[in-house]
Amino acid sequence: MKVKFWGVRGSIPTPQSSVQIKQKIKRILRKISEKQLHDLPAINRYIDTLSPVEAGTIGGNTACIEVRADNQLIIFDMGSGIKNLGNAIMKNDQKTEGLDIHIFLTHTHWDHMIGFPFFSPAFFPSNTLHFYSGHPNLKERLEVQQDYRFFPVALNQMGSKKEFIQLEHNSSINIGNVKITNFPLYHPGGSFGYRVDYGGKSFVYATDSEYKDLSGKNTKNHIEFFRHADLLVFDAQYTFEEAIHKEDWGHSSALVGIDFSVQADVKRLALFHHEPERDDFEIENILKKSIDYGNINYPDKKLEVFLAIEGLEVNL
Amino acid sequence: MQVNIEKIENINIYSIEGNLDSNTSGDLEKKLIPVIDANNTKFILDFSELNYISSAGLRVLLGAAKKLNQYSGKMILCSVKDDIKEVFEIAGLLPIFPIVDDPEAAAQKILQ
Ligand SMILES: [Zn+2]
Ligand SMILES: [Zn+2]
Repeated sequence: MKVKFWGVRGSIPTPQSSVQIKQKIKRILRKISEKQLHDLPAINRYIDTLSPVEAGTIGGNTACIEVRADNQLIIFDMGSGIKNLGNAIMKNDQKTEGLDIHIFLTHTHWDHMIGFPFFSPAFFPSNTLHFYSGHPNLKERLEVQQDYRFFPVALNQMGSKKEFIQLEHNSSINIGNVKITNFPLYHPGGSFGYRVDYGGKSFVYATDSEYKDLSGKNTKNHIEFFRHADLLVFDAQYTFEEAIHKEDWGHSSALVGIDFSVQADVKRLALFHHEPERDDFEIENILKKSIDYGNINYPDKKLEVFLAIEGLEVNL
Repeated sequence: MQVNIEKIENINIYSIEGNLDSNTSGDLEKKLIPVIDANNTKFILDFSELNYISSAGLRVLLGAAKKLNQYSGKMILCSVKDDIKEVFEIAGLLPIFPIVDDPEAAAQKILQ
């Protein structure tokens, strides 16, 4: 199974600002001068070693994840990141006999569906889009988003065939040999987590979720849903303190993600749905502190914690 | 986890022993919230025997602090191991929970 992040930001697409880009350029130039690099090949080599935080970006597009397993093309959420995914599909996958594309939605807040009108494969009559959601009336919600007052192209003018499947809560569905189970999460208007099981590997996508009561009896169903996941993508929009103050805003923190991961024996935890008010260095700082927290509280556990970054691919 | 509770004049001293996590935080909550609701406003939490605290434990302490705030109460932490202090720092909770070295300093601070 391959998991690729196309949009990792929460709430609203968040391009880098000029100030932020300038800050990165200055920082890199300072390091180049400290290292006394003079010739261009050496400078290029050095820049290639830098992380996306230092010489690129964590990414400003909102939620979209691509999963490939058993030759199936499965997409989770249609935030602004789905535009670039669509372009990649057109380049690498599109064929005349058409594609089956399976799209699962956690919920229909803008940041999780705003990219759909720009998803190129949706315009090809030979393609079939299969939409799955735990919420009712998904078709109508997409039609509203593309009402003429808000967007010039209506849903039914996008040429692909479309099928809408409302999922029963806590049920599983098979796409080829890939099993996908949903799980309701606590979020304004409701949200759904998804667990993908294939070939003995598992990926859990649990974004837009708040965990108010962290007592064992209240969280045990969540822990079971996350159990033994090879990769858990977790809503870490807030710091722990912010999550408490923004009660009922529907988001969580990395510390809660680490505690759950340890209890559920998760292998790798990706922090996701990054706060749009934070710059890349601040987000990286949250990661560093979260890793410190894990090391203090669970020194014997081998949980890998990392940032979901636009373009990052994880093979399970 | 074990909680030993002592009351000296109007100060409630809770000595917490063991782990404060999702399995045990509910017990502490039950021992703390009704006491606050019964008009007790001064609390010292002695962490000298506390092994570790997870987000569930922090959540319960924050809930208690929030409630105490409504009653203009005070909760002081004392004898906190460095690792646990760092967890409070990571969680962004140092501005919310005053931490002092020992129970005597906590008593002094609470009576200020
Ligand atoms: Zn969201
Ligand atoms: Zn949302």
